[in-house]
Amino acid sequence: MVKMKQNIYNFFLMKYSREKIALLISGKASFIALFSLIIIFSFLADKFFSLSNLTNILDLSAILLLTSTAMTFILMLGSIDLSVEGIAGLTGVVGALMVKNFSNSNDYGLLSIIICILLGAIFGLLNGIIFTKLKIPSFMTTLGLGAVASGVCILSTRGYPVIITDQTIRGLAHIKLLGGVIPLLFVIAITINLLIWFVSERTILGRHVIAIGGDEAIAKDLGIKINLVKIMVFAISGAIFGLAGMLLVAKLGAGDIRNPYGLLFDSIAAPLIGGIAITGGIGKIPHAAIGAITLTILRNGMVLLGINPYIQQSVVGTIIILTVAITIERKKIGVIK
Amino acid sequence: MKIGSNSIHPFLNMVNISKSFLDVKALQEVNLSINENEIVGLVGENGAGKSTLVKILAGVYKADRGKISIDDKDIYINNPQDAKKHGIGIVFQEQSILKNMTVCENLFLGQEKFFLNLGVLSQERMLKEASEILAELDIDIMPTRNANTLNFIQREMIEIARNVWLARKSNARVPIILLDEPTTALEQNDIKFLFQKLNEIKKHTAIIFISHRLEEIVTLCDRVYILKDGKNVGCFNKDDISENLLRSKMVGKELVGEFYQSSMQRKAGEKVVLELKGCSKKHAFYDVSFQLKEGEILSICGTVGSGKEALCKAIFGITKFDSGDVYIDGVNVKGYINSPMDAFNKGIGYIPEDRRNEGLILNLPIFENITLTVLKKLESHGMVSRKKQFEVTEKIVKKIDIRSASITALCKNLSGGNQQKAVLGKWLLSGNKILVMSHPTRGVDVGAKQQIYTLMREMVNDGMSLITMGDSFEEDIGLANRIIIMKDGKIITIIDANESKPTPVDLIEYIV
Repeated sequence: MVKMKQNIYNFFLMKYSREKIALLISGKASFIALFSLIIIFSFLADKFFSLSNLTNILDLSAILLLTSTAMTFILMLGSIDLSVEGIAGLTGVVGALMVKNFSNSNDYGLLSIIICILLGAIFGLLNGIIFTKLKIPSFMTTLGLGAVASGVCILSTRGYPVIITDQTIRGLAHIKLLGGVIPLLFVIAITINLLIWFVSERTILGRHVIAIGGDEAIAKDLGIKINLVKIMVFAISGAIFGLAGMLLVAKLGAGDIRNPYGLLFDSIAAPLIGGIAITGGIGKIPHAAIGAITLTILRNGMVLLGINPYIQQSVVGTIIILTVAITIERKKIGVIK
Repeated sequence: MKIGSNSIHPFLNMVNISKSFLDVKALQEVNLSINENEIVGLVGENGAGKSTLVKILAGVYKADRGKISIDDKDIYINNPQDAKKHGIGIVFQEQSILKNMTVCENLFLGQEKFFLNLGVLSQERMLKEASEILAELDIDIMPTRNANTLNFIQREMIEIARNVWLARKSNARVPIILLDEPTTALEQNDIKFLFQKLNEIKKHTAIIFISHRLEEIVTLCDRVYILKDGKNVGCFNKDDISENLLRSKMVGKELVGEFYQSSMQRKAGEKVVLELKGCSKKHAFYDVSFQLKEGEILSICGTVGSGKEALCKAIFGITKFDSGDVYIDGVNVKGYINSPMDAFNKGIGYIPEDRRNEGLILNLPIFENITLTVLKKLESHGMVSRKKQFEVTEKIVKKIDIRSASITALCKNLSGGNQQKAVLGKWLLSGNKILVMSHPTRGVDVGAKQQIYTLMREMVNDGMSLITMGDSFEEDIGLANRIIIMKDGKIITIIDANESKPTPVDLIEYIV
């Protein structure tokens, strides 16, 4: 209650109307957008507001929720990670080769998930180290390393998918909890989202991420170990990308470099729709979940309405530009390049 | 008696501190001591070594030679962490408050380890300690408030609180707060407030205060050290300090009333170059009318909110007048000045307060900056001639004495005073006859100030007309032919300072 009062107080102390809008967006507006979308689609598409479709939406949003959670953590730092497709693709293929499959005779079962997480973490760690030690902008580092991961992946499979036969792994994607309503994948994703939220709010690492996102120079002056924080965040995100890669395999039944195609765009779009500032330092991790679900509902609803897929993509693109236009802190950046 | 030593036992003692950067001797055997509950002022020209000295104390630099002791025990400061352990904290001119976090989070940023419970931060304890330290220092800010709602002075208070708290946590007996030019960006009211607070806070601490504004040092400090060329040149107790004394010690020669070059003051011409008639801007100023004559220096005095800043910005087209007429050389230009570009083309120039961000392109060399407004004139065969650029820059640099190894040096490497001279040089070259100057000597050391004043006199003698907002009443009075007093957006009076100069008290009577 006190905190809410404080928020209202802060709200009226703001000078500029655009900042006011940004504050609104980072607070309630993402919820409002989500609920208005649900209401609009419920009226327009008869199949939308059914239990089976809602389960379907949760199922569809699970992987995106995972990757956008990781992406949000990085965006809060003021950086960006473009290696999600490469890492998820490679870990997926490695994971698929480790469980029962058509290509070899391995059978490591659930251990493969741990391996995928570790492999993702290693790539994340590399991202972080190259980014901080060689001082290469994060978008360039991760773009490059993502391409490296994709290349290794294609090289190892010659581009063919690795079809898996492991029923435990496949089962992960099919288990539904609470009387067949809540998919297990969604539960995993939302758990990790809440975990990262807790880390960002109540641990030193998390607070330092926000501080670095706010102003790196100041954070450095106050004795915060900038590089260590960045490397850790990239490693954590890499691990989550690795998990997402393996869960994609569970869902689609094959390890393939093409599994995560399109995931990068959505992983950045979801946090932005949720109200995370791309300049860092502003926003909360659960906004990634709101963004991911909103984006999934938007796509799902447009499919149900039979809208041309190319137009769908343009709609999402437009929404991203609009959200960034409202939430970006122009004053902080000074000159847009 | 050696300068800087003290008869009673001081709390902190810096003895024979020396520091060189490559070949430059920044400090040579400098002494400084602080007692508990004392505010010590540190003055000197730019490059005199004040900042180097406090940075050594704060652990930013390491001294080449010398000894630092607290309570007669030698201490060794190798990095900022060491300094913090001994309760020494520094508040820089550029503030280190994160605007995306709350006051409470800002207070403990980087020191969260004190609030860990099994790896999890205890927000309750953070809030409690924040409230305690803020209450103790009598700072009336809620710890849950977002830092982006704080103003400059409040953020400064938070930084001081942060340092005091940290010193306590490090079990330092007396926190030592180093303030590096805390007042540069503040207005009179805020400065008064800050001083009042500092006088309270010194009951718990010891404070070292660096400032360019000598009148502040005189009112605030219990003792003042003066540095010149990296050496102590004096240490005075409160009762012995006067502005003139400090000024003469800093520059090294006696300066009499000639500081503002009043003898060079010329009589304004008859021609009116700029005239405002009944100009208004909502929430800023109302019904402003005045004339600016050829060769005149016109000062605008007033507190924050008096509308003087807004008025100057409107004259240069950064904002627009709501109503009223503007005449340049007798021609009504109302509606023609909608942007700084328009104003520039009509012959008006503007020297912003924030020269580092608005006045110069720091990453370009001097000659590029100076010739920026006149590139058209320096063309040959459709391209800018570098030879001509060099020629005109050389002339200007020689004329206004910009001290730099070469005109191809980047502006960011110049000292504050030389940067401001480069800005002036740019407008001198542009040929614009009207110049609006917002705090032309802010953050500039005494020597360079005097050169800027001389330069302003020369500009006027060349037929330019200046509108200036000074950093102090003395500056306004010293420079101006006439002084406009503004209050609450209206012109209260215009004082003629051609024949006899008014005193600051005269001005204050109008303003308050």
